[in-house]
Amino acid sequence: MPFSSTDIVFGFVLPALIVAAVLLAAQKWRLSRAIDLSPLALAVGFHLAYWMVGLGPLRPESHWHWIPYVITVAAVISCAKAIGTWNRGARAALILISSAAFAFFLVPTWQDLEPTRSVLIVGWSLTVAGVTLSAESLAQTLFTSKRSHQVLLVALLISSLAGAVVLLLADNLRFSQMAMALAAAIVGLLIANSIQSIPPQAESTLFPAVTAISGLLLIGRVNSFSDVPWISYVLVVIAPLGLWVLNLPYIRNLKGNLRVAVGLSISCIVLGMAVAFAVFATYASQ
Amino acid sequence: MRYKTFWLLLVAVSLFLGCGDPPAESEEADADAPVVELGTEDDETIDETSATTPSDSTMIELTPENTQIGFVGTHIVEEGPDPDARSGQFEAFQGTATMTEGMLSKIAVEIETSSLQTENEKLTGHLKSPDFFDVREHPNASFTSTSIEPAADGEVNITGDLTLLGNTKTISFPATVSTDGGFELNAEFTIDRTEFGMDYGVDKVEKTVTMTIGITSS
Repeated sequence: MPFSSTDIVFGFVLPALIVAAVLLAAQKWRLSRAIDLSPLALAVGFHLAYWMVGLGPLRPESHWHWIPYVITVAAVISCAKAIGTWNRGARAALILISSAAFAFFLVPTWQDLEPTRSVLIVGWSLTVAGVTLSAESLAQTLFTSKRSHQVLLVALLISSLAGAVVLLLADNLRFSQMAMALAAAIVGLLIANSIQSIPPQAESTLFPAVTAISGLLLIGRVNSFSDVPWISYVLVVIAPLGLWVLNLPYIRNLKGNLRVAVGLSISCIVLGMAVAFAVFATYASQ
Repeated sequence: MRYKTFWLLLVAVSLFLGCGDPPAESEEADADAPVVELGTEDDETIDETSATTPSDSTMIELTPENTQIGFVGTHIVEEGPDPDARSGQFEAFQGTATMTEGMLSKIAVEIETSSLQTENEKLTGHLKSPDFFDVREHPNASFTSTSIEPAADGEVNITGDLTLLGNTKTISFPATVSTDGGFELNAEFTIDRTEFGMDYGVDKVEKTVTMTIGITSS
């Protein structure tokens, strides 16, 4: 068992419960009427697990030390986007510029980095921006009910869990625990979402969640000496876009749980492929 | 006036171009700079040490052919010893041992951390990751002695600066030294990995790591 009971309690269970409690308390005290606190709750949940388990230092000295701060800034930007009225172009520009800035900190400066730092900065920021904007568009067109927002959160949750498995197979237990921390925060959001009478907008959590998943997989990949292929990491990041299948005419007409199941099944298939490639690469050579 | 402005601009541009270094070159220069922090006032490299060695001294080159540098890590278990203790060694390093008047007077070694190997490929990869040695961020580790004091018969007490994960701490450990028919040194000691910033999994893996050094030179 790579994780101890301490890891599970302080790195998953407690953060999930605290996030749910914070959101419910914010709704009770009417703090969440003026601003959607979901992105900040996501960041808080991640930080709780990160610091309680001791997953990194306070002062960033290496590229991967920046991950908790990048997630926090992404959460703040999401809150800012939700407050004002931004047209589509301005929102896209904000996300793209922010992603590029995050990449500047997360991509290492090693001379022998492959692909090169420039390629990784461009590729990673375009991927994060593309997945975020695509998923936000999906949320705005298809998700109008409380159940729909839960579907999006579930897609993000299973992506985080799959990311944790891929990172574990890539011999990066620390980053795997960080992915579990993200999953814990999303579980907290789901708990609050299922209880609250005014559910949070899941789309506002997309930017910090996609930034977190992509960032963890990026730093996990460049620091790995395993044979887990790039495709595993990429598939985990793009898996939530499997929900776009809900836009298909035949599937749009399906009702209730069947529609949800179809929507999530595509994401699950993509994630299953990601994990399968990682497992094959890890154990086929042994 | 125009000529004055032109020359001022030319000087300013020259200064600007002369002062700026592209990041890649700076990083390359940093990567080439020796990580060894000698813990002394001097900034000597291992090669320069030989030039200042007194004439009655002998320098012995330490290489993987005559030197073994190993480590043993253990899991936290209810009842010791750990049946799954993990051992490994470094396979790329360079160093010198200096003998003065037949006594070991100085020892220094620089290790390529990415050369660490264990009997299990996954374990090797895990140890190289940011969970432990973080070899991509910290490609070098080093040890340089600051004093070597004779102890019991055939033993010495070596004190020096160990640099690991970019952190330098002073350590002391006993070693058995023999100069009969060559030079032989054996040492086994423990370090607290968390003192060097290797703090992942302290509830699963013991903080103390056993280091072993063996030198046989004829």
